[in-house]
Amino acid sequence: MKLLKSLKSSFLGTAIILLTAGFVGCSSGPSQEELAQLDSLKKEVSSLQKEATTLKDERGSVEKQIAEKNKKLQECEKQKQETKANLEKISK
Amino acid sequence: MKLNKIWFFSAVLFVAFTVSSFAQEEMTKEEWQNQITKLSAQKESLQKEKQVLSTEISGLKTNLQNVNSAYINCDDELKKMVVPTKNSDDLDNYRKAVSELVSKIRRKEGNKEELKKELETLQASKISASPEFYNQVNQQLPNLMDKWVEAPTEASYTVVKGDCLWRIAKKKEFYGNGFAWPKIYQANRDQIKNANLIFPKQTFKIPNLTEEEKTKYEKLKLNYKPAPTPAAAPVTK
Repeated sequence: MKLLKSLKSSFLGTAIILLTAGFVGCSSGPSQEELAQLDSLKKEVSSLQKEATTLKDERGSVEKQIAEKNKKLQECEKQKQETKANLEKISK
Repeated sequence: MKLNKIWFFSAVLFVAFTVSSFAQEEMTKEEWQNQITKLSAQKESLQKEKQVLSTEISGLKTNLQNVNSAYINCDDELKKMVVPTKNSDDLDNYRKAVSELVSKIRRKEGNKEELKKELETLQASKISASPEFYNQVNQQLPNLMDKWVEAPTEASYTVVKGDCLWRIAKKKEFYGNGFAWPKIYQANRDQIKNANLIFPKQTFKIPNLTEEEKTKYEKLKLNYKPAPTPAAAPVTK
């Protein structure tokens, strides 16, 4: 009788364990491959974001250079006009 | 009974563990799909942005090259206008000559007429038309020259009673320094036989001191230490 009871309870315990394991194993989470795919995509996006930031910085730097050169060019044109006028005054 | 208890507890623990691990699982398949969709869209948008930025940068670089070459041309033309030889040494030499002339005129150093000629030479050069020099050479320096009133090379002084060469030299309108008396002595050797003997109504030439002489007599004045007075002498009122 004692043996039967013991067998019964061990059978019950085993059943619970197997059921739970089965339940967990059959859940609908993403597979390892899919998780790896997600991870790789995240890395790709992060790298693209960095590249875009670098390009934006580069664009800003080139724009600044253009503005400085334009300022110099305007100054030079102004000096040219002034020199022309001065030369005329000198020759008179 | 003991075995049953052990089984019961192990089963409870196992269930708790699996339930908790199930609860902690990062995402469901649906969430994964959502993230994949979101990241893919982000990736696509970033790729487009990158492409647009690259195109913009390339255009800006071309623009920069154009502006740069326009500036180089302008600078070249500007130099050609004032320095036809395009020799940058000419410009440097001119700059140096102007700077030297400015300091000479400011210090009123040398002959005014000679400096005036130097200025005319500088004005005649085409380089003076450059905005860097035009105002300085054609307006400021001529103004300074006009303001330059040459001081008379010598003054004269008629001796009065009580005068001595030291006292004359010390007068503010002359040297302001008694140590410069030998200059008066040297300039009036025809009238002064003995430096300690001068007479009222004698008229002396007082020549200007050169910079060198000024420095020499100033140094003498500064280094002069009067002889110590006797310590024991009582001060009486």
